[in-house]
Amino acid sequence: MKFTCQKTELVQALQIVSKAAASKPQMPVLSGIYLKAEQNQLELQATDYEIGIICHIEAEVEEAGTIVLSSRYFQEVTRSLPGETVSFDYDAAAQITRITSASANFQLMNMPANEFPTITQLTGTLSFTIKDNILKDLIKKTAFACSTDEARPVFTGCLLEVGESAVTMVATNTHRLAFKKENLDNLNGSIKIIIPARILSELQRIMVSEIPEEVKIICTYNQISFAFDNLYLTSRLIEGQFPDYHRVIPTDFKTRVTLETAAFLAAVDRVSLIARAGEYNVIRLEFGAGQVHIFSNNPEIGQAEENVPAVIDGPDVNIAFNAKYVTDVLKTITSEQFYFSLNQTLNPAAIREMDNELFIYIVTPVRTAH
Amino acid sequence: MQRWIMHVDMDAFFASVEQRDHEEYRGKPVIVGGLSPRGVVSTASYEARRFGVHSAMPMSTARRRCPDGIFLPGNFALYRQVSAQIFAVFNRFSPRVEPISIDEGFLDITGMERLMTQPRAYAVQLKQAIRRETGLVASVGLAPNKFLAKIASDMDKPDGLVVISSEDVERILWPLPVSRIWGVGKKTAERLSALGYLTIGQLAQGSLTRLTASLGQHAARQLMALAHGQDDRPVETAREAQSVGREITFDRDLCTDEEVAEQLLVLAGQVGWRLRRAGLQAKTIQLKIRMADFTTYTRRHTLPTAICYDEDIYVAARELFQVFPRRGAIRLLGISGSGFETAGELSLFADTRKKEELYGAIDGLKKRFGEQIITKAPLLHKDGRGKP
Repeated sequence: MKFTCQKTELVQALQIVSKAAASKPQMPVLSGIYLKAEQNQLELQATDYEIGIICHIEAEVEEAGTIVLSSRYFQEVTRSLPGETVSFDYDAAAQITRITSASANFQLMNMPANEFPTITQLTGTLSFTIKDNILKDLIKKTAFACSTDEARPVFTGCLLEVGESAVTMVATNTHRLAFKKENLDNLNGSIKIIIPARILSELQRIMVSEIPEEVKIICTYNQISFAFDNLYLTSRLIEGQFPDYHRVIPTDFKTRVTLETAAFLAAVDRVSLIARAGEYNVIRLEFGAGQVHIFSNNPEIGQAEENVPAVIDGPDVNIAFNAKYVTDVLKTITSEQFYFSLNQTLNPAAIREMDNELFIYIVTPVRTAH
Repeated sequence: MQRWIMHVDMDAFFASVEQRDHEEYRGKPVIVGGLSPRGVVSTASYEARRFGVHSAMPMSTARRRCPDGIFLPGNFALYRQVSAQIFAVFNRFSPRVEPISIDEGFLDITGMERLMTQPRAYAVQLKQAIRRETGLVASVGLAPNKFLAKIASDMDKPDGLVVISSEDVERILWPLPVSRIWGVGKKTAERLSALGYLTIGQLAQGSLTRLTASLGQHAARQLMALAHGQDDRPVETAREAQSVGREITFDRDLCTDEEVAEQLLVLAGQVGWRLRRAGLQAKTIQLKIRMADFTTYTRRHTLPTAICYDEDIYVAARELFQVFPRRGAIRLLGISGSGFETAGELSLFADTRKKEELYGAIDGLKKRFGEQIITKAPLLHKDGRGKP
């Protein structure tokens, strides 16, 4: 195998694909990047059996073939190369790939390409397309709310529901829940699947195009794939029953508070510096008299407090939250003001964007004294 | 800086209080403890110890060994009062006092050289103060750390005063059996003996690798340090409760799973009430089972979220019992909760709000009318209450 390609394109492709390479491989070849050169195209693949990523870039192929190189060294070497182009030349007898760029020469040992489990593209009856900016927004507004606790797998992913005219994504770690809906035409689907947060955050990271483009999604009963541009991502789905989230979204709130997003986020961030040492990162919020009093206290460290002006519509409320559960969502909010809707001290509260009925975030308070 | 730690232990505390207040008991074997057939000895006076009676012994054995002894149920309100007097003395002698039990504590007297000419003389003063103010005798151990201080206080009981300095470790500590090390119970002692370590000296000169293989790295390192007389644990003044628990020794051994379930329900209710009263929730639930032959097992389970409600504690304890492989007559059951959380994250999906309201009402009743005011239906016939 022998080919030449642009260094920057290869570096970018490697950055994307290497996320799927196994850090603790079940077999050694899974820690490698699979390369296939043919017809003026270079295909890169990596998989750890959970997720898989394929990326195509242009290449000048002199001799077609396949090789597998260690992900770590391949990446480090490529990134440091001095030239604008890179040439690869595989010596089958020595099981070595020579990498040349300007004045630099490397020889990397190969991994056995025939052992690499190449990714088979999904074929499924359930398929639809969605604009990448919409998909990105769905992910950004929900995936952060997932749990990282592998003991309860359904909460480590986002629920994706595709209906006749809307796509919904929901994520929860049982203490908070993020819900985001997009109304779309001609979806003609009925899908309800749980997608691992890991593949979604990879997607969010690599969907960077300026101009909206179509993402083609295909589902089978246990897998999903996303195809767009020169990329193909696939992932196992999470099996299990996602709880009925409709039930936990309150329909009614006694108090509605309007706050400046940036000012409130900055204040909560500051006050939580003191709360962070505690197990639940507890901040207390006292809504009343046209302001919210934010307070945290740690007997071993000290205390912090700050007042932020607020428009309070309804009875005063004192409530405590895990500060992270509040700041996480505020970081995704784009409107200058937002609504904080509350009932009583131990009832779930809601955070909504101004003029956006399609997003809601529910957060449970922390019980501070029984 | 060289630390100086005192361990003060009252000699035969409960029995001594009884002898102090009752002239007729003096010089006679006095045994304080649970007097029912299945009770256990709390304290035996030195006279009783000569008959082979010691604390934690079944009362029936004690009665057999010392048929003419004076057996008393004990006056715990009085003992607590005397204990407070003793700790008042401790607090005068050191700003750092760690209570271990009602009659025992550590005092850190490091850096008090200006107040004492010599640590030993200071310990003598303390003993005299206790005797003068309570009429009771204490044994004191004085050493550079807690472990050696505790060993020292036990070396010359009653009315002892032993100083162990770092140079004395080989001479004093090493000939002692490994079981004298704090935390070495029967099982660890057996393992150590299997490795050929019978005395602390043998252990100190033994192989850390072999010890690690048998006990794990953490325990091995800790034991090795203690065997060399090293212990850097601080004297902790206000120690908060580490666990909340209840246990019951039954008048008649439990034989069926139904009986066990019923008693677990009783215990879960008691533990739950104690937790809620203290404003605590426990992440770890431990079940203690003592069989008729006195073999004792503990099984614990750490839950994803902390709990404080009776039925949650019951379910956790019941599950522990269900996976417990041994069946047979059970003499004692205990449930305890540990790993406390004062704050709690609420779940969106569990229906905790109803439970909170329910227990708010139950606890309100218990606070006003006592713990017995309300019970669970399956337990109704047990105490004769609430019969139609």
